Amino acid sequence: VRPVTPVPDDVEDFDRKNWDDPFQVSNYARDIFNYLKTREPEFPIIDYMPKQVHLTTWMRTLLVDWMVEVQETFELNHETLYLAVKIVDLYLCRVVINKEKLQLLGAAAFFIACKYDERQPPLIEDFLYICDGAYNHDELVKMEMETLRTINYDLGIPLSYRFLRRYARCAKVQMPTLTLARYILE
Amino acid sequence: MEHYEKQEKIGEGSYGVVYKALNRLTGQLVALKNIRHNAGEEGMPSTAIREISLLKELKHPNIVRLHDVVMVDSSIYLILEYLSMDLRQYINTLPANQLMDPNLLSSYLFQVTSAILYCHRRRVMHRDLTPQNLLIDQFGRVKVADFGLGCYFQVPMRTLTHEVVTLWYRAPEILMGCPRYACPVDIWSIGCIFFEMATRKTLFQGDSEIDQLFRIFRMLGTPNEDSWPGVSALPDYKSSFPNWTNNKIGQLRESLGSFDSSVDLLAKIIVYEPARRLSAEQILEHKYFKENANILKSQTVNKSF
Repeated sequence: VRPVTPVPDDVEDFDRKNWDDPFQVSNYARDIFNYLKTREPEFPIIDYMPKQVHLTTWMRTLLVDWMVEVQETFELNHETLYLAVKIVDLYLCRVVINKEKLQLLGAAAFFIACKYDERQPPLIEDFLYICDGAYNHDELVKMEMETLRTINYDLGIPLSYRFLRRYARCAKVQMPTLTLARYILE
Repeated sequence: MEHYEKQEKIGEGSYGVVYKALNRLTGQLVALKNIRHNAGEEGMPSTAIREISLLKELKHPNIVRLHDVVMVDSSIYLILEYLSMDLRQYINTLPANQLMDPNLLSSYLFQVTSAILYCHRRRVMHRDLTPQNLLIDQFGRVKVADFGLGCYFQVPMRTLTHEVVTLWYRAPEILMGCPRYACPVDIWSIGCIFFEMATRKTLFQGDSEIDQLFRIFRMLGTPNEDSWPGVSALPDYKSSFPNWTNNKIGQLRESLGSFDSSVDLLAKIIVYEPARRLSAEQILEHKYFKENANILKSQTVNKSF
């Protein structure tokens, strides 16, 4: 049996309180979040901009803005957006690309993130459509493969958004504070 | 890829063919899982994306190891650890009147449950535990394979798909159309596999979803608000269900044989209410394993006299 760090006396034990709700996975919640913390250092994002001679921080900002729009259009989970952006950054840490390919990378990252985490991922057609026909089917499929290979297929990446949810629940954070925190994360 | 010599087809997974192959460089046998990538217009299948990602992360002695992922043109091969047999084949090859060695049985149960505990603690559900997906070697090791339906879950859980778990091993909350389910679905499957190892019989061998449910009802009694709080609100619950009233799980004592604690353990796993089902952690702490170890020890001692 593993030792459990007790919660301070004046703090309510969120997991204990929800012990009978299997959807809270209370018996493993602490293990899971501790585990995610140990995995975080395995996915470092370095300052890749000096290396990306064809890109500027402004272009990345535009891309992320567009990705937020895509998330809203397809009504995707927040985690999917966060994962997609993380995939883009991990890829850009490793490969220098042209600005023409940046949106293709964004689309491929989203395509992958959706398959990983969405119950009904949008179709490839949908992604080609939101790119305004800038790329064709084969280009997106190829980019999907290349992206997966570059990030070594490992998509179990800890996301800031997941920690925020957990902290907000345990600390019973009110909506305005949570919204501000989300804003900062984005 | 040239140094892998395909020897024979050993199976067909959810999204591709599996071959036994020899790595000519190392002399090692491997399982090659070929993903038909361009067969679909949708690029890489999501089941493959999940399985690769999960196996990259899960490193446990009782989980099949992913050695490598190789891309050749439009094909992707997963190079997996090779094991010669699955549990279903093993049970079928036992002589007709012979049961599994109880020592091996409890060891297999312990190993599989350890692997699943490892998964659940890492926010992973397998969602398709069956005897076919448990691979064994000649050294008494068993390994969980085929994570094609596996998934990472969120805390708290989101709504998940219902197209999971082979019918016979499917938990009642999935059969009843629960919009959300969690780790206890893997535990239900483990319970069914436990029974099957002990008796060579499938615990609930339904031929349709409704037949599957009714077989469970006959064993545990038709669920009601006492035996399963909240059941009447589930999407596929019908007040017109036939009313079986007895819980007969205790009567399995005879078929489970050897140890009293076996039936106690099974009765605590095969439970309607997911929150009341033992967790993987609790299974490992159950007296069945202690009692079993003691009795087996004394048997060995007796034999040595």
